[in-house]
Amino acid sequence: MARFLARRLILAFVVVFAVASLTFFALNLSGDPISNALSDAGASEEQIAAVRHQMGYDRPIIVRYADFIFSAGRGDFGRSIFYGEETLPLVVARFPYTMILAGVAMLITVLVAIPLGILAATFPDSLLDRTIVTLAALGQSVPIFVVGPILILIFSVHLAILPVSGAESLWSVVLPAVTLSFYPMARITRLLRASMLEVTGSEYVLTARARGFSEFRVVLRYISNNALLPVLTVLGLQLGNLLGGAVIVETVFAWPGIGSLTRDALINSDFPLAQAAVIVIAIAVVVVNFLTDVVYALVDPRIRLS
Amino acid sequence: MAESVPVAPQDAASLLSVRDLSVCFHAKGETVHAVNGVSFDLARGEAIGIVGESGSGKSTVALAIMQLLAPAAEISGSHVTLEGRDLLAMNPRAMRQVRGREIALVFQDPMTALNPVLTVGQHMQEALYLHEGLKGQAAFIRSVELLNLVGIAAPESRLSAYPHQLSGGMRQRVMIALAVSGNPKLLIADEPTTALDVTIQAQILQLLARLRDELDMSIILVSHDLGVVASLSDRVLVMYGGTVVEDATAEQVLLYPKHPYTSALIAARPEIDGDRDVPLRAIPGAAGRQCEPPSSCSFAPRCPECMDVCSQSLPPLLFVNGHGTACWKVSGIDGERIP
Repeated sequence: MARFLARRLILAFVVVFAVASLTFFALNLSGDPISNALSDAGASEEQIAAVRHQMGYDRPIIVRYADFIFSAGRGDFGRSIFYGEETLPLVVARFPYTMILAGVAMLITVLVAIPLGILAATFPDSLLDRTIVTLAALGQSVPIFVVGPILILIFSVHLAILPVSGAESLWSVVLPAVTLSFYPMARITRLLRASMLEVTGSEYVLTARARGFSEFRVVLRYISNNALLPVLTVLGLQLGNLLGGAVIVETVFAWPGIGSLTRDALINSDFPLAQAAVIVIAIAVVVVNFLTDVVYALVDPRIRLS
Repeated sequence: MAESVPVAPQDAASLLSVRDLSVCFHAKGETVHAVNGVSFDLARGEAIGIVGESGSGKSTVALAIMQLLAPAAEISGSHVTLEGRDLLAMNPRAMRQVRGREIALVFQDPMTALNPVLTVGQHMQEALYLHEGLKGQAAFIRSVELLNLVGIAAPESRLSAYPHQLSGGMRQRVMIALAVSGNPKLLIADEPTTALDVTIQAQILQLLARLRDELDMSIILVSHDLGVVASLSDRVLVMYGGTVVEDATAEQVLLYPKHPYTSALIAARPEIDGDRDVPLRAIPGAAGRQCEPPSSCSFAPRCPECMDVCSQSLPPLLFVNGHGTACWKVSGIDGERIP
């Protein structure tokens, strides 16, 4: 167990370091943030050069990279070019919104996908099964930026029962969360259905029936239980995706989470802020993946943490 | 020549009686006739073996008795009675009472027949609670007893083990312990030793023979291996193409086979001290899928002694001195008039 933890911790550092480095070079090789930001404001070349020098952007990229890595190692992610404040508190302030959005989306996913998957697999090839599978295929293939506006049109514009955007009331989370849950919902439904059908055909299910167990017990303890194992892994991966990948949904619904913060930082050429946001997302994904592995080992005796 | 009778000898002390059992599978507009008119009786404490190659319908017979066939299967025109009660006419609830308590089943692959996320102890507890209403300490004591019975050393420590932590032979012993936990009158073992090493095979067969005596169980042993079946069974049914082609004592089948298929099956067994240069005597051809109920001998296309009548008319299973054979060659052409 201690070895497992140590290895995972080292691996986590490597992943976060790699993400930080890639983000740094991708951003800093794309252009000069100071001239991007100031030339629109009508600053002169001298003024821009002065600010660039003041903020250290006139140093060679390798020096800036070393500076960034060492400062980040001490928890200092620099100052936002746009806001002029420390970046980390800015990011951390937005993180709860993303967590709430991802959490609600995950809850909707689980509450809808698991019953649907079980239903579809219990009556394979029935009309119900075919309907569920078709809807799931649709849910997996329609892009999120199509789903979002359609939901806004129906529930905010026509029915006027839910807010269009923002995060003013509790109800604001509903539409973005539903939109965000579409893909994982469809994916989990299909996965659970396939997994259940596979387990249903297994010998231990036949043996359980041969032992005289009731159908209810067979489905609950022998089929669903075992079929949920692969679902758990994918749920973990999807949660990681939701934490980091909510950029589009947060933008469509003006949700003040880390996704919309990242998007704004990129548009404003606010490199330090974008870097801090990406690193925080990377850490969140690493943590979620780690927790998934731990939970998986707890529920499946065949997996050992070693 | 002794008198020929067209049905299996009736036994007054019969535990299980299977009469004219036919099973067909419907899939994608196609119908496959897997079992065609199988009849046999099983006395209390008797062990019979069902032998045949893949697709001969032997496992289907086992599952049909348990009513555990897939929904695509259809059982037609037959009776399966256990102590006089017709299993095929039972509702699902009554049938569940039969499963595990009166008829238990052991499968081929103990690797996949145990739930991978439950411990041996959890499996045992579940079965004991269902069959005997045992819980807690009583269930623990009985579990240890049962594991002892099937020859598992240090049973207390095995109860917390998961299936993947046990060897194949050990898993099969656990399967057998689970199967006998409900004190069944009949144990159906479907290829119980096929997935095991030869030395373990012998141990498992000995175990089954011992349990049969100790628990006064009847056994139906399904296998593709004549040797395995003969070692345990009083009587052997040889199946081909979904029909019983020979039904006799193990000795009669092994030493005096009458049906050409049985003879070929025995000839095809490799000798352990045989000459390596002599090729194995495989039976030419392959068993076909039957999309129609058979109207002639299914083995005719592969039979070295095939006659004209064989591909025209279905030979009935006729008994001479308790040795049943379904073959025109054996019954003689005039057997044509008997059915």
